[in-house]
Formats: sequence, C-alpha cells, structure tokens
Amino acid sequence: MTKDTARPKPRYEELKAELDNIVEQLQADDVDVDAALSLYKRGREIVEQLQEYLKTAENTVHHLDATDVEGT
Amino acid sequence: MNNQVIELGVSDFVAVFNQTLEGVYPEIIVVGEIANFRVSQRRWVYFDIKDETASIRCFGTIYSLPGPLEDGMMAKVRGRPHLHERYGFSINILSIQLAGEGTLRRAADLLKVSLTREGLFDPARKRLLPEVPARIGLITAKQSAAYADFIKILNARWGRLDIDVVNVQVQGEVAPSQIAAAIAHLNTIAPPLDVLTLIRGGGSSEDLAAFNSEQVTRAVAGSRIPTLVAIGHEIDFTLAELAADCRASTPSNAAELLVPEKKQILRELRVTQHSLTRHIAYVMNNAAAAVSQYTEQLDRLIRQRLQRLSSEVDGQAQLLEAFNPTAVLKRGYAIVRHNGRVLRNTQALSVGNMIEVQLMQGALGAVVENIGEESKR
Repeated sequence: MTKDTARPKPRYEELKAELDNIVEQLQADDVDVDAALSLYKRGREIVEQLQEYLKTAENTVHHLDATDVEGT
Repeated sequence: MNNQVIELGVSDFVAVFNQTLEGVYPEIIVVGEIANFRVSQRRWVYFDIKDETASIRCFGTIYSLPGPLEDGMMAKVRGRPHLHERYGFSINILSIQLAGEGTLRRAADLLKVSLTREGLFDPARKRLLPEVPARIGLITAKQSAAYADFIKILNARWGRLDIDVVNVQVQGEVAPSQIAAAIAHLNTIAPPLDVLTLIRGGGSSEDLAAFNSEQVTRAVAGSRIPTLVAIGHEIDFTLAELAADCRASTPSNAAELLVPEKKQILRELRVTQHSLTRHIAYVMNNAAAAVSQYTEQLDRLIRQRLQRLSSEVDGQAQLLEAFNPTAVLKRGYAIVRHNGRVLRNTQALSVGNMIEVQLMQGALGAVVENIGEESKR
C-alpha cells in the first residue's frame, strides 16, 4: 500500500470523529457482518494511528517580537 | 559672559520660546490629577492636570484617550509642551496613562459600563474554543513565568501543535498598542489560527492596566479567531477577560483548557480498542447464533416437510391399500373373473360358464352350475 504522503494527514479531531462514528455503527443492532468486519478493521487502524500520533507528537513554536508586528 | 537681555516682539518671543522648549523638552510626561475634563465637537479633548499647587492645561484628540476619563483621576500625560500665540501654554497630548489603584479601577468601571452598553461582553457573542486546536496564537511576555508555565503544561499535555508566539510587553505605556497590534497580526495569518491566547501573570492594578484598556479590550472582542485570556491569580476580571470568548484563571489553567491530556486520551483509546473488540465479537456471535438458528429452523422445516410428505405417502398408501383388491381376500372374500373380467354381478353369467376364482392364497377354475337370487344384494 503506497503511503499517500501528498495528502495532508487527517488531524486528530477528524480521526477521533471517524473512530467515534465507527463505534456507534458497530453498536447498532442491525449492522451487517461484512460491514462490521471492515468497520472493525478501520477502527483498529485509527486507534493505532492515534496512539502513534500522541506518542510521537512534538509542538513547534514560532517566535515573533512586538516590533515585528507593529503597524499590522 | 554676555548677559545682554534680548528684545523680541511677542510672536518672535513665542517662536523662540517654543524652539527652546522643543530643544530641551521635545516630549515630557506630567503626572497629576485630571480636572475640568471636556470633549468638544466629539473630537477635541481639553483638561487640566494639576497637583496641590499648580495646574497645566492639556489639549489633544479623543484618539489619545485610553478610555473614559473624568475629573479626579490620576494620570501620566505624555505630550509636547507648547506655548500657543493666543491660548497660552499647554501640553499637546500624545498619550495618557492612568495611574493609581483608585483611578484605574474607576476608569475600568466607566469603560465597562460603556462597552457593556455596546454589547462587547454579551454572552451571545462567545464562541466555543476548538476541542483540539492544531494552531495556536500566543501573545505574552516571553521572559515571563506565565509563558514558561503555559508552554510547559502545553507540551506535557499535547503534541503536534503549531504555536505562533508574539513577544510583547504586558504592562507599561506601550503594552496596549503592542498587544492590540499582536492580535491584529495573528488575525492576518492564513489559513486562520484555531485559537488566540493572551496570557500574563498576576500583578497590581497598574500592572494589569493594559488588560483594562479600551484598545486591548476592543482588539480581543474584534478578533475573528476565538480568544482565550488568562491573567494569573486574579479574583476580579479585567475587561479583556470579559471580552474574550473564554477566560482561564491562570496561564497554566489556560493550557489545561486548550488541549486534552495525552495520557487520558491514550487511556480512552485503549477503552475504545476493547469496545471495538467487544462489539465485533458481539456482532460475530450474533451472526453465528443467527446462522445456527437458521440451521435449526431449516432442520425443523425439513423434518416437518418430510413428516408431512411421509404422512401423505402413508395416507396414500393406506388409500392404495384400501383400493387394493387383493386386500379383501384376507377377509375370506374371493375375486371371480369370467373371461378375465372381474364379475360384480351375475348378469353376464349363465350356467356352464367357466369362471376363475382368486382366493387370498391360490386360485381355481369353476363351472357355473346355478345362479341364485342372493347375489343381487
């Protein structure tokens, strides 16, 4: 599976929303077995992605001075 | 030394006086109490700045006002001393900074009333902060403990944030304009930041004056990006906090409000993982149960079908049996045929005819000797 590096990585909130949606669908009584299996697989993928995101994430700080922004 | 006294006309004297003054005091800050404050034509500002023994007139425009002023307030007026040909000596105001606990509180109260009337603090204007921001604008004094606390907690709690920090003075005369300029700048960044945070540590009324200034309060209220303002350990809210979409009690609390806690989220992810597994197991078990139910149902249906068929067959067999001509023989009857045809009556017979008689076991041939009435029943 080629890694689609060009596409911007989905942000945390998008992945979390997708995961919440998957859990909700799996809770539905009438979920079809095949659908459940692919939902489950995608859910596992997202959990691992989020865990990876959280463990490796660093913050980036860009510094500006007041004099740089005067007269904005 | 030549102490010859110069003689000048009035206008020349005023010009020389102003020139001398500009050379010595191009700008001056005078501290005192405001008196006789008035605004003319909604544009020109006049007041006296005085102390117990002296008073100086000040003149400027409403744009130099830090907010509503009234007599009795203590102020630091920065301006250019000037002798006007007709109106005499005054200070042309460049900026005004209020001073003293009482004045600052009074000015904040006055400003609060007028900005409240304008709806700047209306709860309906408040926007929600993003649940998990990715790009944060931060306005603070970079050397401050507030900045250090905020960044430390932010880094501990969450990652992958893009933080644009604008280092400003958070107190003193230039603070309001620097903070307002920083807010304006961060609002120009494209794509827009997710949240704009303004933080500082605690301090006296004088220290926090910038956060009660009209300039900063309007800048916070006017930000297109949702705002979070945090001033350390203060009980009273500054006007900037009231104007913000969200207020935190301290810079550390601001970091806690801004981002979730990584460890907590990892715990939740583990719970989600278990619930995923549980749900899929539940779905699969249900599916398996459904399949076995179907199988049972099929079995039952098939068995029922077979039973019905076999009872049908039995019924037909019995029927068949009932129609089985030979069955009667068991009960001692015989089948009589003449010329191969079964006889039901004697009409076709006459004496001497040959007849074949089939018994339950065996058969025999016979000759009709007589034909009697009995056989008609």
